[in-house]
Amino acid sequence: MRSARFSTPSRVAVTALLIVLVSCSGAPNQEKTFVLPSREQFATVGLAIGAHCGTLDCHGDPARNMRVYGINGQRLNAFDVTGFGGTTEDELRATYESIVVLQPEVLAAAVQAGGAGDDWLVLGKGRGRIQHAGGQQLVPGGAADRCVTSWVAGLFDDAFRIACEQGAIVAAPIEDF
Amino acid sequence: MRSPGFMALLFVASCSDPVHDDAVLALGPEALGVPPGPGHRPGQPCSECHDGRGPGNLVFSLAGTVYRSPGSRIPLPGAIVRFVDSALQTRQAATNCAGNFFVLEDDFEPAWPVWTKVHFAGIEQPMGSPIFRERSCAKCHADPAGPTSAGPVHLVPDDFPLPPSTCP
Repeated sequence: MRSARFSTPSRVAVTALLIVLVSCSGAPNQEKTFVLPSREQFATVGLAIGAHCGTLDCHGDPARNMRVYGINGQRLNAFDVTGFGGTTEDELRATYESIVVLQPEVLAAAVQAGGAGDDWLVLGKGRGRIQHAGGQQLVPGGAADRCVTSWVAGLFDDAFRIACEQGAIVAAPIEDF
Repeated sequence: MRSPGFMALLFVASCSDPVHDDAVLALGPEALGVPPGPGHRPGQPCSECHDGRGPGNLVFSLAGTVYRSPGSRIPLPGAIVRFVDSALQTRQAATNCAGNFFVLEDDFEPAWPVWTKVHFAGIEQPMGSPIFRERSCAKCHADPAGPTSAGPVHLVPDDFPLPPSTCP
């Protein structure tokens, strides 16, 4: 009988498959928690990042891995238009999530250490120290760079606020051209 | 032993960029009655073909199309598009009867970012953000405006009076 002829090999195959599956599985992953930079203090940071990184030809392009949302680039709401209206709270939240999920372990370690370095991709690439198609957009010590590093370090003082305000403007080197 | 023809085909195939080829193909054919040249394909991303990979002969540093107003789709000839880059290099280009302008790569290799303004009839319209790397205006200024496009480059609102065009 046809079914009988294949019953034993089938059983062997199923058993082998089970063994493989069991051997590949381990104990369920334990839930990890990360202490990440402040969401509440991100609004001004998000505007600075949006100005330097979030235009449609860079991370404001939906094709980018690290998506930045806002007025300069892609809008979160299908009825909003690039270049019009301000960056919304939802867009800032979406940008925050884009940024913190990139390297949560590295970022959490930076928070714990009280500051981020170039091993965090946002800084390493933003500063142009890691291969970055967009080149250097965060000048070390510059306003936008200080805004981001202070945010990671949890230093929410006046210097942070001023750095973020200045960092949100990417002004032409001359006005009259 | 492979034939020379096969080897040549293999060489050509290995040099082609299917993403670029698809992007060029997606632009479609030339508009009826408009030959390839400075007035062709207004509103399309110029650098798709003019980036050195062809099929356009000239390589553009920056190029695009300027319209009178966002809803008009009427080109704005005679406007001056000015640029300054982060190394303080400045350039300018005039729009033609199709509203098109271009700056050749031989004349300008920008130190990004680049800031730009359109000047016409005493009006100056700066772009809200700098250009960080894109050489074609239409990549970010596609028609229509929406959540991933600022809409076509234009000078004034729809109801703003401008001098009539001098183009035929």
